[in-house]
Amino acid sequence: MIPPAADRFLREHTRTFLVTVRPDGAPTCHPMVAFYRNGALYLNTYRKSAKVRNIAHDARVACVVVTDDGDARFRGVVVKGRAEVLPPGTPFPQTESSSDRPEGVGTDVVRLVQARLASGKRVLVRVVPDDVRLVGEDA
Amino acid sequence: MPRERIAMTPDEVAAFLARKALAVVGTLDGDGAPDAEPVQFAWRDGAIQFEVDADGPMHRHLGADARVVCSVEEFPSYAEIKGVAVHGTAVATGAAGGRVTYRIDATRVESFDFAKIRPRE
Repeated sequence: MIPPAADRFLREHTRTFLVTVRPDGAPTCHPMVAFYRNGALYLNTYRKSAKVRNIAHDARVACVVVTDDGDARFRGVVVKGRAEVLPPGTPFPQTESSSDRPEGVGTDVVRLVQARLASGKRVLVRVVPDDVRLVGEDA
Repeated sequence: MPRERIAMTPDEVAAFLARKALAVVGTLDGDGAPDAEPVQFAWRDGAIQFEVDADGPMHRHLGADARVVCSVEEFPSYAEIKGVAVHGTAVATGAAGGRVTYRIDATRVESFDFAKIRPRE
């Protein structure tokens, strides 16, 4: 069960740090953009990236979704769960509207990402939460 | 774009970390699964220092496995994204007021600066 305040926060923020486990067992962190859809986080990355290799080795991940640098009230949500790399070609859910673009990301970048998802060069990663907690001023 | 072509120099990394204050620290829980929390940090004497609650999960994790990653990033626009990830070992250096201070002894530093991306000719 995702707390209502966390659910609301995840719908409104996309700035995300994805923490995975490297093959040597140490943690590593990747700043990314994540979209919250249908109770899960969706991220996209290159199919041959270290993130995808790490997830293939150990699907356990933690995501920290935070406010922007300029936000006077720092808040965030930590999502722990399991990551699944979706089959190449799986479309990004709801990327047509401008509201699905993070601030500062132009339509040219969105179109490029969509083309690379369609070609399989990039893949979608879905993180289904097992545990969710608020951090910062909302905690 | 190979990451090394857009990496910051050591001086750029130091300057970036010196003007930032918020990071995400990644640790391992008792089962070896990743966990993370945002922290306030300071860049002092060439190392990252941060505090966590003495009764919080991050302190418990670091007591069991000191391997840590600290990620600092800024995203004013897509073309200006910068980030640094410091990998290493967290060393407790003090405790006061229910907070524990850690220093990261870095073993590896990764960085990127999208402003260094140049169009292909």
